[in-house]
Amino acid sequence: MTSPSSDTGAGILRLHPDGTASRGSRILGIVVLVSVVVFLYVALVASAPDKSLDAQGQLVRIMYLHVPSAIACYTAFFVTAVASGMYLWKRTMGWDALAASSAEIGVLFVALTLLTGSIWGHTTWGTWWEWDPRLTSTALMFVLYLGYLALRRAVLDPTSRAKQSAILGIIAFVNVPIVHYSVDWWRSLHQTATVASLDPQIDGLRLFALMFGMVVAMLLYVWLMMHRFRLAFAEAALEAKGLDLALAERRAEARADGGTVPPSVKTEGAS
Amino acid sequence: MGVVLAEASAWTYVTASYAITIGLLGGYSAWVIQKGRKVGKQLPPEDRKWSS
Repeated sequence: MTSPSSDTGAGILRLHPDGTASRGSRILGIVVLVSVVVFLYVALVASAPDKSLDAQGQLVRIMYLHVPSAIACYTAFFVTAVASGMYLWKRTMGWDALAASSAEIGVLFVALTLLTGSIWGHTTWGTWWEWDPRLTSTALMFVLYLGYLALRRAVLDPTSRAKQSAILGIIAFVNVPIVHYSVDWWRSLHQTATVASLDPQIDGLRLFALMFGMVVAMLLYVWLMMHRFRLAFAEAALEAKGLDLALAERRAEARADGGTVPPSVKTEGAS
Repeated sequence: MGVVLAEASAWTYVTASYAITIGLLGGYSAWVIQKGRKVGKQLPPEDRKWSS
């Protein structure tokens, strides 16, 4: 079942014959790796500590992780909502696999947002956690999408799993704008947007580190999506093959018994 | 002396944040790649549309 070695490239672009990598994903992976190294240099070495009025000092470096993680999770959940809507419209498993893959990566990024935010909060506010509107709505977003992933594991039938999780994928997205605007709508301990305004509160290399961090997070999201989507697609194909095989075996058993094939088995399989 | 200690303490939190981020993202990436190879092995090459 392996591809010919000539198809798998050479040197740094050589691909594992069974894996989810393609030439495009390998090139993007290299770009991500180089970008991460440059980002670490800018964020940890080249950029100066914050010495403004509300000086964060060295702690400002946590922001270069925290904000890009938050942007990446918003993007991931937006893709989940759009793919869920597309599934309900088109009813093709590719959209379901896309929604599920993006939700899983989004959960990873929201976990990072909460963790880095908690560390930052401990050092600047003196507390690991506060039931503040931004923090609470972010925690709710984390729990909602964990629920989405749990639902996908709980429902065995692929079609009803896809339908139910598509509905939840759209409903859960309602919370995302609430998370984002919570600092404007309610009195919050959390600071307001750092760079969305025309007069950002940071500049120079610090602003570059933050913006470049966002670019790296988005590149990483795309690279992870390429692999996770292909994995989800392969799992769905195997599941469909397994169901087809089980149905074929059941039909053969029914014929061997000399009886008629039950109506429940007269379907065209999982696809 | 106090400033030096505060600076060292700040770097501890910064290092912890970067270590957690790199650890989680690296761990997840490795898991996806590894599982992809495992699942891909069970799939005939014609079903692996990305490798064509």
